[in-house]
Amino acid sequence: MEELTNKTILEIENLHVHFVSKVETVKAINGLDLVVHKGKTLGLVGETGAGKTTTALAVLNMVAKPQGKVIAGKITLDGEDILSKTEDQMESIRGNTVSMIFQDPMTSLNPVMTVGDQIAEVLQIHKKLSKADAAREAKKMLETVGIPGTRSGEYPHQFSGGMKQRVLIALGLACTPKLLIADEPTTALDVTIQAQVLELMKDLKNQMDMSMLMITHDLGIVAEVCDDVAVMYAGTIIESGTLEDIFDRKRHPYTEGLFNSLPDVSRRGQSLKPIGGQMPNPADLPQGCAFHPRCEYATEKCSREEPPMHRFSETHCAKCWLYEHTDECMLVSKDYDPSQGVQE
Amino acid sequence: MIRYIGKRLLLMLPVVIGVIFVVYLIMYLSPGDATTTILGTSWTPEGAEAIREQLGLNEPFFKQFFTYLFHFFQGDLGTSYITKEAVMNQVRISFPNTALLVLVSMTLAVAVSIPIGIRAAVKPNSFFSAFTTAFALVGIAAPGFWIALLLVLLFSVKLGWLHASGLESWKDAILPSIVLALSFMASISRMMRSSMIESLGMDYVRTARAKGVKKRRVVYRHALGNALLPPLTVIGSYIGEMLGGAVICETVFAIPGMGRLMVNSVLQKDTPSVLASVSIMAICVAIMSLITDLAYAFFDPRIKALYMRGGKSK
Amino acid sequence: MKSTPSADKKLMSRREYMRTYRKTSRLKEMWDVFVANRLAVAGLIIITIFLLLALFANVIADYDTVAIASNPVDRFQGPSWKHLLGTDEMGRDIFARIIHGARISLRIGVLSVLVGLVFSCIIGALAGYLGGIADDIIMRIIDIMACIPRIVMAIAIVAAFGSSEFNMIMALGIATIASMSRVVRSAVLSVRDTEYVEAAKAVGQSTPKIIFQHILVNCVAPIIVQSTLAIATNVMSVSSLSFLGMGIAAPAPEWGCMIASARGNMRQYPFLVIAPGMAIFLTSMAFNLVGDGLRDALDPKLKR
Repeated sequence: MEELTNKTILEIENLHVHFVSKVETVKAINGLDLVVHKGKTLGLVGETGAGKTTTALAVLNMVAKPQGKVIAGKITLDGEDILSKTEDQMESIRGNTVSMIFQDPMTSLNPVMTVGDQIAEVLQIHKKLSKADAAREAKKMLETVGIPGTRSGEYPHQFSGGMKQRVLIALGLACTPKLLIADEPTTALDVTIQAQVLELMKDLKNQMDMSMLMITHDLGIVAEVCDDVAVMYAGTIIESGTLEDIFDRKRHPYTEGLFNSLPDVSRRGQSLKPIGGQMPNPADLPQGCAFHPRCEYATEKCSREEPPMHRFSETHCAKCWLYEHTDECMLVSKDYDPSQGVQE
Repeated sequence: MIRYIGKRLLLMLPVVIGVIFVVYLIMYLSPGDATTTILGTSWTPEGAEAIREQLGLNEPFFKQFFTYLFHFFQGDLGTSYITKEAVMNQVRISFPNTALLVLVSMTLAVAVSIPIGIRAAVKPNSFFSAFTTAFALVGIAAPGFWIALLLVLLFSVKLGWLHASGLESWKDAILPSIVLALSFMASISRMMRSSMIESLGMDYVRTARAKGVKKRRVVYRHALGNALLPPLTVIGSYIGEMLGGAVICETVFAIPGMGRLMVNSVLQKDTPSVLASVSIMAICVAIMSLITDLAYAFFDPRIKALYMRGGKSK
Repeated sequence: MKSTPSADKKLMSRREYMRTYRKTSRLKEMWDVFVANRLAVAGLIIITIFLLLALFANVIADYDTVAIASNPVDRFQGPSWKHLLGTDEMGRDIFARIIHGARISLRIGVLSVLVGLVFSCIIGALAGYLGGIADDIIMRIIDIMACIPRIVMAIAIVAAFGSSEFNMIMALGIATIASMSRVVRSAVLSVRDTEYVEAAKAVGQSTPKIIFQHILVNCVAPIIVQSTLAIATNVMSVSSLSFLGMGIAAPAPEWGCMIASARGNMRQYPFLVIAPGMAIFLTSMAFNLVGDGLRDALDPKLKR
């Protein structure tokens, strides 16, 4: 992958993040590799508790300090080694080169500051604008996300959930960052508002020529906005590839499980097939493949050894013992969709 | 906003009347007989009857109460059974001392404890934080009169720096103010610390950090702006506790304030003075809690908006 | 998305399993959290020591002959084996007086909180559960009571009815009502509108069953915490009242009383003031520590 470096905005290699407390050590991220290409959107998919948000915070070098520790790994953002930066250096990167939109718009805005001030603040910090210029610029940003600039003097409680998320987007985009991390930006919103917000983000991303890391558990959103997809389980990427790789040529049993738990109009007769069991406790991960206790294909080997990453093509790879000797799809549901060809 | 303040002031009236009623009721139900207090050794049945007639003690309870209330609002607080002096005069002398004591202590407590609380929250695992917790514990658990005596032992007996009692110069106010402030420093710093820790863990603080705001500004602008609100609301309710503390403080340091007036009147069964001092203290509490409510509205745009629309608080 | 317990079991750590399937483990877990808090354990130990001393006070030192009877020959003795903490201005053994004082303080402290608790639970639960106008009226009355500072209220009641021990218990109990009933009310309110109470209503559980099984049980935590803290406050109030001459009267070995009578000789014998004050401070601190520990242990929301 080295030859791709000049085309990537974010590269994470072998990241390990642990949360250490007196009682236990929570292994949140365990050897995660991830690449976001310039101008592309990567969807980071996984269940709650898979470590998606922790990954994003690691990119900002904001893993909660006393307990959270980055044990190993390298994060390269726009050619710079993030983890070796001082807090001061990080402050000039955050909100400038990379910004993040958080999950819950209701609580992510400061309730005692006007939204205009909150947007202007980021402009004053990074663009060194004067107070008046920043305020004017903030109004413009609000209008960009579809909120009348006249409302910049209002407080967050005067806005609806969808509007607040727009404000957060304006905040994130104010300094035209190279990478935007969106952590489940639409989870807290109504479906119709979700669509508007996603559309807005997609447009602005193209306008500003940004890259985006879209964290979500919603495969519909992935299909809508993402170019590449990485599937995360128990702190590591178990399958990654282009949108087509994952949607049409999925290889990992967990990815299959994710798709099978989705309702599908064309398969109304069949019952949904949820993945049995729960995410393993990250303080007490099973030996071998972390997914094996829930995996219907699991063999004895899976409970002993962790599978290596198997590469199917330039873009597509998966971590599973099923492909120790073959590239062929080994999943039972491989041919439920006639439109989907087996191209290996 | 002004309409709201007016409305709140109006709503305070029933509370004030209620307070006077409660105190009046307690005093009315007490088994003692005022005439023995007033006449002392010169008590005769005829003299007692004359006094009862004069004070209206033979009237039914509610008539007595409303007469008292009527006079109270005109500034006539009755006549002391002991000194035969108008209670209003006693209050006029005592009240400024107590007000001064409470205000100085409150200022001191707030000025010291808020920075301490912030510091302890920002560095939660430091020695400073542990020290603050320990200090808060001492302040909360040690009774005020004991602390007062210990400080007198140290500063007036051992070091001879300050007077042990009285209120002649400003220096005499130092010890009482510190004693009174101490337990509130403890509570406020503890509260500030936990409120600040909570605030630092909120999503908007994370948002602020993620946009590259400097750590100092994150703490003092974003986190503090929100963390100040809960301690602000309790400062008002502490005024009551503080007046209670002043009662003890004034007694120990022999300061002629409302508290000592009350204690002395209680000990001498001087009912009109007891009634007046307790009622006035309670009214001060009611006024202070109104002021904190308004301050809260001023600082929190969410509450302010509620008031501007003329809505009801909660 | 329902999975069978046996399938889950495989994936759970032992602790999680215990938490999910064994009811008793919750108490155990609370105990673990409480014990992990060293300050709270220290508080519990101090309380236990004071309780034992108070319980066996008569065995350790006879009340009438040692704690009360004056003994002019032995005035102002320093600590010795005969008088662990020395003697006071009337030649009485200070240690004996302190442990007999513990009886008074703990008795009044605990009983007054119980009195306050009974009233507060009735008032708070009524206001919280009934809501509407009843709630408004009750809370306005509580507002009025809250305007009178606690100690002032206690003084007023004691002044009116006399300073017997029973009156002190009632006075301090009534003085706690204002703050305690607000705690009960808000606890009831926070539980009343939760989904699990809604759910219990929806499946047709009877109202008393809902109140006892869901609402009160879930209010117990803040009430216990508040009561423990209130004991600390009331122990201090007892001595404050006595110190002012409005509580337990001399020669009873009440801590505040002891300090008041030692005040005259404070310059020469500061220890006479320090010792009983330490007793008040330790007791009050111990109840505060235990209260804080209980808050952490009982309220899972505040954990971590």
